[in-house]
Amino acid sequence: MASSGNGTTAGTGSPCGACKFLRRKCASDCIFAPYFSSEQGAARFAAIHKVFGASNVSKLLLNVPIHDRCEAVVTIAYEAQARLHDPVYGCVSHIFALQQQVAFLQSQVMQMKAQIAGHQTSAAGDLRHSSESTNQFMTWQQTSVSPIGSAYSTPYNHHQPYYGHVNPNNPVSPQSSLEESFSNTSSDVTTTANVRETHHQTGGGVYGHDGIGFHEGYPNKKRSVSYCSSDLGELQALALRMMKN
Amino acid sequence: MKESSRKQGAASPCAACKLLRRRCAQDCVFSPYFPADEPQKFANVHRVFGASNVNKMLQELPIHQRGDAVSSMVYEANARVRDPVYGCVGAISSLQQQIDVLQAQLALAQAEVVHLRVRQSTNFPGHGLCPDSPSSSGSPSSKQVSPQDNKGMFSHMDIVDEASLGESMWSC
Repeated sequence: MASSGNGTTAGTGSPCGACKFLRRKCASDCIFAPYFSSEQGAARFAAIHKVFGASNVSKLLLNVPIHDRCEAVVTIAYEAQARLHDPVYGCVSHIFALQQQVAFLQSQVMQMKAQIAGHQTSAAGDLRHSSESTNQFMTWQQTSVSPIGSAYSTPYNHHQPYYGHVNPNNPVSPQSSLEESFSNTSSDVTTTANVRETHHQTGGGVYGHDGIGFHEGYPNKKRSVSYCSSDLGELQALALRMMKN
Repeated sequence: MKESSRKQGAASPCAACKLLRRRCAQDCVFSPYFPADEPQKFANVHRVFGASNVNKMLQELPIHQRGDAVSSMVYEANARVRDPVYGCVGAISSLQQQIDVLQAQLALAQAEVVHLRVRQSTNFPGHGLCPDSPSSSGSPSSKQVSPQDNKGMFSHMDIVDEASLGESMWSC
């Protein structure tokens, strides 16, 4: 993959995937060249071009600092492929599926905690052991929101296929749409992981071995991602209509 | 003919035609979804997707699905404008992390329930016939492992099993 970097030379190297797709000369300052290597770049760029348009993506990238552009391209490609697979909902259907799973898991956790409380009440005679178990659980709760807590959850991902946990949403969601989401998400994640390997050459990180490319860079960014209430309201209305379809 | 043309021109243009400074025809693809009083809605979609791309995408969809397509595009465009690097993927990543945390919490809570139940069964050594006697304590564990797959149907069945086991325990 290192050799593809030389492709940016004006007129002397092979064009990047974008310029190959657009059938134009790849200039030395081509904004797409660093992110669309020739081997796979043309196919990935085709999706981006159809959904967003080359000039729009060029403008979007110009507004992003250079050190963030690689991840911007990855997310733009992800959204473009999602939009092509599902022209009505795009990647918003993935957000719906994940939101439903979060709600389901939250209800499960609450039920289990209620059972724990019930058991501890009935076992009140053994105060020492109850106290120990309560302390252990509270300690875990304090750490569950920390990066260590997130890292602790990693082993569970090994026991199930990625996105397999979305299955509980099947009874309450449009099956065809979710099936599209599964296949689309699976292929997108693979693409993202490949891109990350190409550009970052880092297999490390807490989530690196999960193959969940998105987790690597995003924990830090998560705090700055905010969605205003009007957008959430619109999203919920869209979710309701999506379920009816 | 001129009069009808003027009448069409006299109608107030939709937000899309207003931004693009063009005449809003009666069969304008955008007008049902981008009313004139929501200019920012179309501005963001135009900036991220481009008007011609949106036009093409909408033309390829049945009319009854275009409203939802526009809503999801508006959401994605707003997310991309707010966060040019991560766009919608930021929300997806955040939700995935929530799921990881909740799954860990659920697994820990389930292990705690098994632990408490085993202890309760050992507190009644005289009831040898109890289904949860120490010799069969492995059975609840094997059942508890399954819910970690987070299959909704199975998880509900497991809850029912727990309830029945609880009743049986009390009846001993």
